[in-house]
Amino acid sequence: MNAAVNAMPQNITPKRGWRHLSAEQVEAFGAELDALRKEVMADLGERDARYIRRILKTQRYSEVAGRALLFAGFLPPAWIAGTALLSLSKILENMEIGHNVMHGQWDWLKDPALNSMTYDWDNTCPGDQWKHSHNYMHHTFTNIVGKDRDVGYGIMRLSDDQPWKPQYLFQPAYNWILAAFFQWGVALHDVEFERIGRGKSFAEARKQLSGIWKKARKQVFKDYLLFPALAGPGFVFTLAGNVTANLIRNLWAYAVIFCGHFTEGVEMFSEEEVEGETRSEWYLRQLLGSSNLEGGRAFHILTGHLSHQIEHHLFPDMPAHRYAEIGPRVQEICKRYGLQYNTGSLPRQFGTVLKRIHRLALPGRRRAAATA
Amino acid sequence: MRGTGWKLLDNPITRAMASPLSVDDYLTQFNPLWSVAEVRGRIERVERETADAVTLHITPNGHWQGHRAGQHLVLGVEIEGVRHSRCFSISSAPADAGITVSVKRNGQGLVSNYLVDQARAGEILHLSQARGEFLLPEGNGPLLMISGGSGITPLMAMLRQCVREGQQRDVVFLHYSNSYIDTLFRAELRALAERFEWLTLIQVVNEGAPLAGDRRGLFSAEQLVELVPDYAARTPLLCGPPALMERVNAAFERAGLATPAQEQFQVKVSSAAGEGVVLFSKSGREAAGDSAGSLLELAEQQGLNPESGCRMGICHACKCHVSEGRVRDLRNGEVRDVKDEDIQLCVHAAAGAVQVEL
Ligand SMILES: Cc1cc2nc3c(=O)[nH]c(=O)nc-3n(C[C@H](O)[C@H](O)[C@H](O)COP(=O)(O)OP(=O)(O)OC[C@H]3O[C@@H](n4cnc5c(N)ncnc54)[C@H](O)[C@@H]3O)c2cc1C
Repeated sequence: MNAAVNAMPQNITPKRGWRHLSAEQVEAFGAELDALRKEVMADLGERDARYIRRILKTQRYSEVAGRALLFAGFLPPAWIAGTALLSLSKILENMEIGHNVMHGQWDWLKDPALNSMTYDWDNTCPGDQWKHSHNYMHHTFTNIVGKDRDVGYGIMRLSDDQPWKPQYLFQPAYNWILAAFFQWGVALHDVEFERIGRGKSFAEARKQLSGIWKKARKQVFKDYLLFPALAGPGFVFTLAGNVTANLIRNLWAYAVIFCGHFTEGVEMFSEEEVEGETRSEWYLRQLLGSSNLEGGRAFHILTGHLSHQIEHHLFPDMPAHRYAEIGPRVQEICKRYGLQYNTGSLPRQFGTVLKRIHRLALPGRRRAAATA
Repeated sequence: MRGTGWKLLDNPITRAMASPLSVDDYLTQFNPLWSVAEVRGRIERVERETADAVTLHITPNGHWQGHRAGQHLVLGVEIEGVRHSRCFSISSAPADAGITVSVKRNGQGLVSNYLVDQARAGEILHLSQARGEFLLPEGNGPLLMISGGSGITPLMAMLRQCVREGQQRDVVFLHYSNSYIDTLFRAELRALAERFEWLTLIQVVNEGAPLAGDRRGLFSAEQLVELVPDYAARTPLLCGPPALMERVNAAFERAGLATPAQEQFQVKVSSAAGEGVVLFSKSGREAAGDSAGSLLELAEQQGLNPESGCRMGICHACKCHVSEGRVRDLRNGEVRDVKDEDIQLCVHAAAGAVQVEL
C-alpha cells in the first residue's frame, strides 16, 4: 500500500485499496476516467495513423532485413545483426502491432491490414483464440482468481488465494521454461487442460487444439524449415537465428506481461467480490490489478506500451501510444482519490515478480482471510 | 508489372514466408501500388472542372481489368488517416489511357469535399474493379441521354466512347444543371456538339438566361415532348439526382413507356429501426435490433468493426454470413427469412431474431 492510501482514515478496515472511497466517490472517479477516454478517442486522427504506419514500416523492413542478413549467417556479424533485427521485428509485431491491433485499437482506421477481425499475429497462438482468452477473459475478469487464466496460466501459483499444490514447489524452475517457451504457453493456456472432462468437454478442447495445431505448424514450418531451407548450405545458421529471435521475443514478452499483474502490491480478487460490479468498480479493479513499468519512449514501444499496463487495462481499445500521454493524468486522478498507482523500473518490478513466484511456491498465504 | 506478373509472387512459398500475414502486407510497405491482387491507383493529375467539381486522372496498377462505359468503381481514400470508400462513375472512355472519375461536391459530404478541395497528384487510391450494369446499349439505335448534376459522368463516358469509336450514332444529350458555369464537361460537350452532326446537345439550366435551343427550369413531361419530339423512339438512359429521376420515370410511365435504363447515385434507404434480438455469434455479443437502423450500424454500436464501404448497398464490402434470422431489406421494406446466406449489413435491419457471424 502506498503512502496516500495509508494516510486515509483507518477507522474502516481497507478491504481493498479503494474501500476508503464512498460510493459517490467511486462513481466520480469512474466519470473522470470516462471523460478522459472520450477526450482521447475524439482526438484520434492523422497523427495516430502516421504513428502506427511508421511502426508497421519499421517492423516489416527490420524483418525483411533480418531474414536477408541471416542468409549470410555464416558470417558472424551478419548472424548477430540479422538475429537482432529479426528479434526486434518479432517483438514489435507481437507487442506493439499484433496485441494492440487485435484489441481493436486501430479498427477506426478502416484499414483491412489493421483490422481486429482479420489480423493474426506472428505467434503460435491463433488470433481468434487469443481474442477470447485475452481480450474477453483476461480483460473482463482481470485478476479474478479462478477466472482470469493469466493468473498462473493454469500451472503456477501467483496469488495467495490459489490453493497450494505440491507441484508449485517446482515453479521457480519451470517458470523459466514457461518464459523460454512463452508463445506456447500463450497458445495452450486457453485449452484449460485441468478442466477437460470437468466443465469442459473433450470436443471443445479438441477443436481448440486443432486450431492451435493449424496455426502453430505454419509458424514452425516458416521459422524452422522454410527459411533455413531457403538458406541452403546456411540452413543451421538461419535456423539458429530464428530460434534465437523467437526465444528473445518469448523472454521479453514474458517479462513484460508478468510485470503487468504479478508485481508487489497488485491485488487479486475473488469471484464473489466482483458480483454486481459497476463500471467504475471495474475501473478500480483494473487499476489496482495492474502495474506499470518506467522507461524511455523506445522502451515503451518495445513493450507494446504494456509498460502502461494500467492505462491499457483501463482503456484496452485506445491506441496504445496514447497511454504514455495520458499516464500522468491518470496518475494525477489516482492521487486525488488516494489510490495506488503501481509503477517502477523493469528490474525492480521484475524482482518483485520473482519474489512472488518463489514465495508462493511454498504453502501458506501472506494476507489473512480478512480480505474476503 | 501486369496482373499476371504479380500473381507469380503469390504462391504457396511466398504465402508461407509471409504467414500469418499476407504477401501484400510486405509488398505494400515498399510501394503502396504493389499488391498481388488488389487494384490501386495513383492520382496523376487533378483537373478542376468547376468551382465544385474536379476530374481525377488515375493510373491504376496492373490488376485493373478495364471497364465498360457507364460502369462505376468503389474508390477508397485516406482522409486524416482513415480510409473512406465511396462509389464513383468512370467518366473516361474504355479506350482512354488511364481512367478518370469526376467528383462533384455533395453538400457537406466528407469524401466528395475532400476530393474536390484536397486531392493531390501522387495520392494513392484503393479501387475496386469496375462494376455496374448501366451500359451503352449495343447496336446503332438512336439514344436519349438524360442527366442531372454529377449524374452526367457515366453518360459522358458513353458519349466519349461513341466519339472514340467513330460510332455516328444519333444521340440527344439532355442535361439538367444549376447554371452553365456549374456544368461538368461544358466546354467539351459544346465542342463535340459543334463538330458532330449526330450529337444534339440540349441543356436545361435553373439559373441565368438559356442559350438558343436550351431551356430554363425543371424537367417536365411537356418539356420532354417539346425538346425531343421523337423521344419515344429512342433508347433512354438516365442518371441524376433522385428528384429528377423520379420525374423522368413518372413521365415515361404515364406515356406508357418502359422507364429508362438508369444509375442511382443516391439510394433511398429507409431508416426504420430493426426489431428482435441480434446475436453476433463470433464475438458473443447480443443487441436489441431496435437500437439501430441497419445491422451494420448495430454491429458498430457493439464495438464490432466489420468491413464496410459505401453503406448504401452498392459495394458489397460489408457482406457477412447470417446463419439464420429474419431481416428487412431497407431499400424496399421487404421482410424475408434467411438461412446460411451472405447479406449486406448496411441495407438490412433485423426483423426478428438474427444470428450474424461477427
Ligand atoms: C453508382 C454510383 C456512382 C456515382 N458516381 C458519382 C460520380 O461520378 N460523381 C460524383 O460526384 N458522385 C457520384 N456518386 C455519388 C457519390 O458516391 C456521393 O456523392 C458520395 O457517396 C458522397 O460521399 P461524401 O463522403 O461526399 O458524402 P457523405 O459524407 O457520405 O454524406 C452523404 C450525404 O449526406 C450529407 N451530409 C453529410 N454530413 C451531413 C451533416 N452533418 N449534415 C447534413 N447533411 C450531411 C451530405 O451533404 C451528402 O449529401 C455516385 C454514386 C453511386 C452510388
